[in-house]
Amino acid sequence: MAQRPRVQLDVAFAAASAPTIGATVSTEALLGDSKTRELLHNGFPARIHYRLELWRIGGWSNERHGITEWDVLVAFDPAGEVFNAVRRGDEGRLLENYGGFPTVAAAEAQIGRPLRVDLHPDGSGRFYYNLVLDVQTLTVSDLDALQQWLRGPEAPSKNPLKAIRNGIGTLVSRLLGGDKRHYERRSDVFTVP
Amino acid sequence: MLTRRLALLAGLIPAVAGAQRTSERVGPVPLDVRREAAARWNGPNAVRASRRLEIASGEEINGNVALQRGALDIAGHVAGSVLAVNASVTLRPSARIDGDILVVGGSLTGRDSARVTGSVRVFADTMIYRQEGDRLVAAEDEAREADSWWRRLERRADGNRSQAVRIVQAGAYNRVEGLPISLGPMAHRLTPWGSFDADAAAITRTGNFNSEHADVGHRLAGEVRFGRERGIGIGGRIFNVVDPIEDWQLSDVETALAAVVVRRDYRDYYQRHGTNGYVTLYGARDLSLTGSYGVERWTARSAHNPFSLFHGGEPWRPNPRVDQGVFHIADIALGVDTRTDPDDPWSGWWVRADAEHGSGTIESPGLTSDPNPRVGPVNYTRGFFDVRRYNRLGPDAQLNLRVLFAGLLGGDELPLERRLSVDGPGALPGYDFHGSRTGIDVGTCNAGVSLPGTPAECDRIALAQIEYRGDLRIDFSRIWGDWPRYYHGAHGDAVWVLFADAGRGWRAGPRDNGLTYSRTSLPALSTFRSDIGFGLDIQGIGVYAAKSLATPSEPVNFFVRLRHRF
Repeated sequence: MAQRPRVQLDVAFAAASAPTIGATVSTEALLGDSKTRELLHNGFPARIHYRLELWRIGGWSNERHGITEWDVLVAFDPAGEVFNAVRRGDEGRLLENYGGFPTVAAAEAQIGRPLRVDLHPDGSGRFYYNLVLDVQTLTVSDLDALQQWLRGPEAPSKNPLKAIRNGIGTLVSRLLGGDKRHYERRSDVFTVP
Repeated sequence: MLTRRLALLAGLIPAVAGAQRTSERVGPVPLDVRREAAARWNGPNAVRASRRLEIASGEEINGNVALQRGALDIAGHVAGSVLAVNASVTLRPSARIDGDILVVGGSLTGRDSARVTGSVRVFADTMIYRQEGDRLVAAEDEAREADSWWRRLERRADGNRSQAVRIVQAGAYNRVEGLPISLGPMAHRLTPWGSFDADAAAITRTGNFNSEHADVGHRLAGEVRFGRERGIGIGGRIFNVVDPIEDWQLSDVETALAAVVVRRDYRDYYQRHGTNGYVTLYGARDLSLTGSYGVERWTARSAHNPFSLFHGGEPWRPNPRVDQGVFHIADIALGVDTRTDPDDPWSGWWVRADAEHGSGTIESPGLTSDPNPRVGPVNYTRGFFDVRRYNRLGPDAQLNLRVLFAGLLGGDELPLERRLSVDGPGALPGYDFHGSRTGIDVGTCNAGVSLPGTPAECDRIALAQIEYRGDLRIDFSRIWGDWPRYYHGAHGDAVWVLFADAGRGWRAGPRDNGLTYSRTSLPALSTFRSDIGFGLDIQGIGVYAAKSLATPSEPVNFFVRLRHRF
């Protein structure tokens, strides 16, 4: 029996350059678990929320020094039989469409590629990065968006059968156990003189 | 030099692009984006080129830059927008773009180190187009566009949504309603000046299917917001709902699971039927402020016999009978949330401050241990102040603090719907939730009279909690690869928790036997209940043991939490 690939998160930086150019974030097998793949294949999108935090070690407590957030959305297009992936960030000002991929693994490989993030200290001290990821295939709070997703770009349907189908789709998707997974990874501590 | 290079490149455009035809398969780049790219190419550009273009450090372009089929390297200043069609863009750290960047059919590197004032959009898929002289014409394919996932995504990003019938859970599973299900239409629309929301729903209460009368509530709500990022929201609601009397102790999920699995409901409920309006100010990410006013009738509800997985043969704890009457409620609520993560905070503040003034008439009093329950007109002011501070002591440890004070601020004594209690796993876990105790109970403020359901009777409560959380460097993800859980790899998969709590409730009035204190005094700290405990939080599921300190006869309580204790 093939072993499921293990989720990997990494926050890397060159000790000498971290104070000026920030860190590099990479991931592996974020969509590797069977439930997520099943939901993806059944048309439910996955949303991966990235949050990279920069923490400063203080005397009494550690303080968050900076934060950068972005999202990656992955959705299966049954017509083209491809997994589309898109990245959004910079408070909505960044939109990057990675295009379609024939397999989940190929999409994972794209979204997991090292991404440089310009989050660096602006003063001296001891710092570390904290990478937080939330992988959300389906949650209660996302139901409205999911319904919108199911319905597509047309105007709201007046067909009651469609409305019922959407409602049943909601219940079924919840029974499938759509959930939210939370990952966290911390970098080594580095010092800025 | 730059002009000369462009002139040479421009001559190549028709021959190269002319090889492309609309008969080729159209890629998933949205049609409006293809059209926009073509319009930008055909519009005013300070620089338009093919193949390769370099804007060196120190160089300045006073206008838009457009490139197709090549590579664009920018180290200088572009005082306009950048367009790359089937081309890739590299931004050097010294690059400065005053406008937007649109890359279609290519990639963008260096975004994080350069300075870009406008938006950045990158579409990896190749754009299909044809060249007509100097003009670029995007391939049109409306039929494909209708099914484009991009259209759906963009529409979703717009924030507009509506449903003819939305079926959602209307609240936590409980012994009064069973599983409340809300069915009805909803709509959310963004407008140039803000947004509006509207929804109407019938609430079916499944805990009473055996009744001859359908148990159906309703909720109609509308809200108009003026402003996108910040502004003012005005809304109103008409409702007939069943609400918990106290919802601050455990989360909805925890309450529902305890009810449906082990037949233990940690809340009491009452029915609210009325209308209210509210004004909310928003704008700061961490701050909310809402004022509301409404008129509603409060009615007691009795427990039914909904399904539970275990202990199905045992009766549910009765739902206490509360005061019934009509009340005018004015409320103002302030929220501050600077936590690093709402579910798994490492540091920050969480503050909830709420002040409510109520006036009305108690027509039928509920059951209390007070021998002279209040009937008739009542005016009260109640406050609720919950302050939490999360401190990250180091990469692997945190110390969290919470202080809560709630209760009567002025006026008459509180109706039972606004009374409080402080015991059980959500507050003082060393003391059983609404347990039967002899004599005075400073957890529920029962004066020693056995009452069905053991209602909360305190006019005021005070609670302080402290906990230390330390990471255990244990990796469970290898073992429980598909185990359903919330946290994966968070805080090292497992956290040990050491905690202590102290608190009590009291009545406000003429001082008597240790349960009632004057409105201007506080009980002595020596009268507070206290406990201490230890737990393991494994990927978001915490198993804890708590032991009372102030009452040694209380046994050790074991409990499970699905979220942080606070």
